[in-house]
Amino acid sequence: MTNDNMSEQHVDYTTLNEYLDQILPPEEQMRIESHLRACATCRQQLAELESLFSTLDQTPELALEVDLVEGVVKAISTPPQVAQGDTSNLSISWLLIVTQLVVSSTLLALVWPSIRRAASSNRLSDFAETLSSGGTKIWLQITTQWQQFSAIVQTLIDRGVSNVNSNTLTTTIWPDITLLWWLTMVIILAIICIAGNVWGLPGYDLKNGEGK
Amino acid sequence: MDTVCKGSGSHLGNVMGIDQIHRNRSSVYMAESTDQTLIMRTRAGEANAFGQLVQRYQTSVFNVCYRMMGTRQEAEDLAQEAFIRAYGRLHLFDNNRPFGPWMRTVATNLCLNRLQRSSAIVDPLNDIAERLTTEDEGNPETVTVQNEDAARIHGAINQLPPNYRAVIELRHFQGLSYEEIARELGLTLAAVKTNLYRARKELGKRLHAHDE
Repeated sequence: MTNDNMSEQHVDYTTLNEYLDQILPPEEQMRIESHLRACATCRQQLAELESLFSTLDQTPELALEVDLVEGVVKAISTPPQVAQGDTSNLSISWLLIVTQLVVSSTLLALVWPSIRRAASSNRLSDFAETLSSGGTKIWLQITTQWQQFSAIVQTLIDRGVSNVNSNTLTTTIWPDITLLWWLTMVIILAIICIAGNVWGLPGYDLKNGEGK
Repeated sequence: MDTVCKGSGSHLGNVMGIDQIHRNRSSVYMAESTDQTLIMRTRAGEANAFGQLVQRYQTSVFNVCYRMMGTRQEAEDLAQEAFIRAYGRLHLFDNNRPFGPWMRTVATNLCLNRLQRSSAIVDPLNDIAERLTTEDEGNPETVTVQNEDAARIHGAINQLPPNYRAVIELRHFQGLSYEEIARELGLTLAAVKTNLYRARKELGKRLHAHDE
């Protein structure tokens, strides 16, 4: 019987597992074997691990007391039906679609006047009429620079145009960009919802066990 | 007297019960229809062909589920569900690979997902409906001892967290390599080793404590 070789460190538990699983490089495997020949402590640990492996390997299997074939064949032969849960999910989906449409319609209604004003090229005629009614002729210089509204008003007042205010002026500035942004997001979400219901959203998919 | 033994990776059990009856028929089917043939016929629309696959593998799949879940009822339910899911994924299965191992990993992953959604730990020592697969029905003492051994081992396995159970199942009962386990469970190699070694340590403690 050999004594413990205390000049070497004992084999750690991880390495012992790797040794038993035979995943160590050959030279490492041989080194461990050499150590085990000399170290009773490590041999004892190895024996316990081997015993566990053996116990698991010899675990008896249980008998199956029911026949699964009929249930499985019936399940795979039956066409898929909309179950109670699916119906409720369908209701929720339609509710979402309707909500999306209502919200987007409301937002569209809010911004529509602004869009119309911005898109209209005839509002200037009202302004021109106002300007003309005072007997004053104005020459509006078109500029690409953004200007404060007060500066524009002042310019016109300086030119002698009376009754200048936001109702008599039109602008080419687009409606509130924030509103437009929200409207865009809502429309995109509505499209996604509708597409998801028409073509089916990706569902939770368990690993199929096949590996990559 | 035959006891059920299992080598690492390939279970060669002596099976009684429902499977015994089917096995005799299965050996005939084997001569006529390999797993590959049955899979091709299933893909062509023959549900009964898949039924034959279920016959061949239902006991081993049931035992996978029992080792993972701990109760017979849940194991039977999940085994059936595993086959149905496998059927749904059969178009993705590489028919050049053996069906059995793939089927068992599908079952393992299904059980693992179910366990991760539920925190219940079941003690199979309380599941008194277990019956072992053995031909030695004439020796109740042997069957009793084997029942106790099986319950003890299953009990210890079921005390492990789900991810530990899964690596023990895949390594010791299905014989997968570390790399294959990593692929099936979506883990790194290091994580597989850590989980496996810790699981073995825990199992060893529990089984050793029970013996004392």
